[in-house]
Amino acid sequence: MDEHSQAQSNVQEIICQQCGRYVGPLPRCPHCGARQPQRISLRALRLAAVGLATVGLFLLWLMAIHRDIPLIKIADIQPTMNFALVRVAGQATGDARTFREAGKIRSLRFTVNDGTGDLAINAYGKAAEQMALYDRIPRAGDPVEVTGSLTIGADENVSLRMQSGDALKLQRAAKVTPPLANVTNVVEGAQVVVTGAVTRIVTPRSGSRAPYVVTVRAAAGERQLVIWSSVFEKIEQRERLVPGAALRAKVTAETYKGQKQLKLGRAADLEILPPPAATNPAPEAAKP
Amino acid sequence: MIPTALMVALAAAGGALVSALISWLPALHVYNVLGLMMMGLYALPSHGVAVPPELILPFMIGLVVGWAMLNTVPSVLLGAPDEGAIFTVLPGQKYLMLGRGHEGVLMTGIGALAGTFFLVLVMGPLAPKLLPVIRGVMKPHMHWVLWVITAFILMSEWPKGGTFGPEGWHRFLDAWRGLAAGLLTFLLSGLLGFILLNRPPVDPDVAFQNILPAFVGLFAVPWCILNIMSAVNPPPQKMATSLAVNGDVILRGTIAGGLGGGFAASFPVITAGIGGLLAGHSTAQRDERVFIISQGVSKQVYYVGAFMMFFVPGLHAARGGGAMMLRTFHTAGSYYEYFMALASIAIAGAVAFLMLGPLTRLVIKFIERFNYRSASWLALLICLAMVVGITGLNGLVVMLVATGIGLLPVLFGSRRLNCLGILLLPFACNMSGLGPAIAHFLRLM
Repeated sequence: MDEHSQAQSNVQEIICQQCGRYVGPLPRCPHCGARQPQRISLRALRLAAVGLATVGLFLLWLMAIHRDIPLIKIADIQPTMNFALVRVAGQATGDARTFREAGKIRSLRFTVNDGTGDLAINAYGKAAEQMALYDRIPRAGDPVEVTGSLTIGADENVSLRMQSGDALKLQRAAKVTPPLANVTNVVEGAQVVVTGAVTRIVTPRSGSRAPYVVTVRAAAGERQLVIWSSVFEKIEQRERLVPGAALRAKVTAETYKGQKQLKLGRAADLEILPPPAATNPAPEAAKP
Repeated sequence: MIPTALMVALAAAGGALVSALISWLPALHVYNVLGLMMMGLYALPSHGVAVPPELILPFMIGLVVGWAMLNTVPSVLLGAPDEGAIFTVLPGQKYLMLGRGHEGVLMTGIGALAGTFFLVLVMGPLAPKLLPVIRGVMKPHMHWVLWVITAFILMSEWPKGGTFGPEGWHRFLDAWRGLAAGLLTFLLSGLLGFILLNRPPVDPDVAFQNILPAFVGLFAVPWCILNIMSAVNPPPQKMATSLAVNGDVILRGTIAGGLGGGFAASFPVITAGIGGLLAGHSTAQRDERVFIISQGVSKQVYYVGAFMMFFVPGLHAARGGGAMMLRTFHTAGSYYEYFMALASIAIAGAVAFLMLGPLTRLVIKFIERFNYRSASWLALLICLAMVVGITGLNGLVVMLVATGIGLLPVLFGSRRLNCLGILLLPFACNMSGLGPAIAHFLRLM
């Protein structure tokens, strides 16, 4: 718009469109009474923008917190779903692996299968710590429902990142754990019960990151149980865990450097049994 | 059979040519176009079509290089910047209103060309050795650096009013109106960022574009609305036959812009706009020409440099929306692909610079014929179509809210850079370990 047309436009705004006489900023012509077109106030625009921003943001927040997070099938995950917040329900295919640094859990990882495929689940920092603190680390076969953000890389490298420990709904698998003696070929990830007498305990050297190795003489022969320091320190009455003590432990079969080993996942899964009955005083019921 | 080298060159040049079609439209960001392209690419394997990386990667690089350079045209002539060209607008608009828009575009274009030289000839040989080391050193410090930058952005804005009228509260409030609007913009956009990053309202099927509606709302739509309402038309533009710059001005602009753009490209969340602001302050370049050139360099180094980092062997970094999308499709890291990327940047940079003059003349003719307001209406319609087309009605809701926030700095005269609180605030909180607690407090987790 050149200067002439700009000036013409300004003049049009201060004279009455009906009678052509001077009106100034008045909304109605004082001569003929005709309503005059008004410019929109910048102040009104500012208030409208502040209103739109704050009220809109509040409504968006309400929308976000009330929106159900969609439950998806693993087979349906597409690359365009990168960063999507979704839920996945299935079974943990193995015990979660924890990664520690300076004695603290930094992250954990497990895999979920929902019948359509496998998906790696990661939890980092406080989310992982929270899960460990409340004994909510998934084990093989546990039904789980996980909420998190999808991370999709090239070559079908897909994982789900949990934002907090609460993002996991966990049920402990109600399964009958077979005694080790009855298991001929223990498969990776399977849980078995070992009952027997402790014959040897190898304690890691001070400062070493190696686990405790407890050798147990069971009905099926001698077995070595691997117990990481973080788990060992939580065993109740662990001072009773000495050679000769009887124990019952629910352990998971794992392969490490090509060797099968039995790992104790939780301190609560190890029970130190009372000494044999012959050394016990007579039961109350046997008294006359 | 086309030799591989020829295919790479043609694909890079093709990408730059396609970028000329999209870059003059103010609302169309290259990452949105890449997003649409990725949706097509994801669908190809199911139809039995395999596209060789030697075709698709140079094409994408060409698209990014061309857009980073040619998007200067709407930034200066239509006054519609993306978040990386926020600071080019004021001096650019000044040139436009003096009838020297063509010159303003070409000066920024010279900066972009210098930025391309900087990337190919300086960063190209150094990046594989230098960047992994810099990254390793910077990684533990990123959270506090982000907070320092945030504090600098908020504190470096000065009161613009308060000079007239009686002393006391009126003057104080007048002075603080713009500052308060800036702080409010930063806070609201930060909260919007928390919502979008923790509970994205868009459908999971298009989640990879969940920030798109917010960015369109924060940066593109407010300018369209303002241009439509203000009805200001620029005077007839003169076609420049020479530019008032010399080697000294270009060199100073390149150093300032290279620092800013390089910092922005290598640091998460920081965009070219912030990089340009920091570089402008740290190098204290007062000359307007140096400033315009430095912004061209900064933007080119930021967009292209961030994309280039994806290909740097040993770095394993995906910076910027383009690289994040490409990561879902391709794994890079070999020297073969790195040199292919450098070659593509050089070829596309040359093609795009050659197209800058003709494209500027075309857009000037368009403005003269259809006026500023028509271009803004067209841009607004494109914004709406793109947001609804990709992210649906939920995306439109996000865009509307973001528009309200994006209008605040425009109407109150504060910095539009405050809108980048959408990324700065949630990322700084997350990197400091505060993010989950805030998200819990906001009931987003």
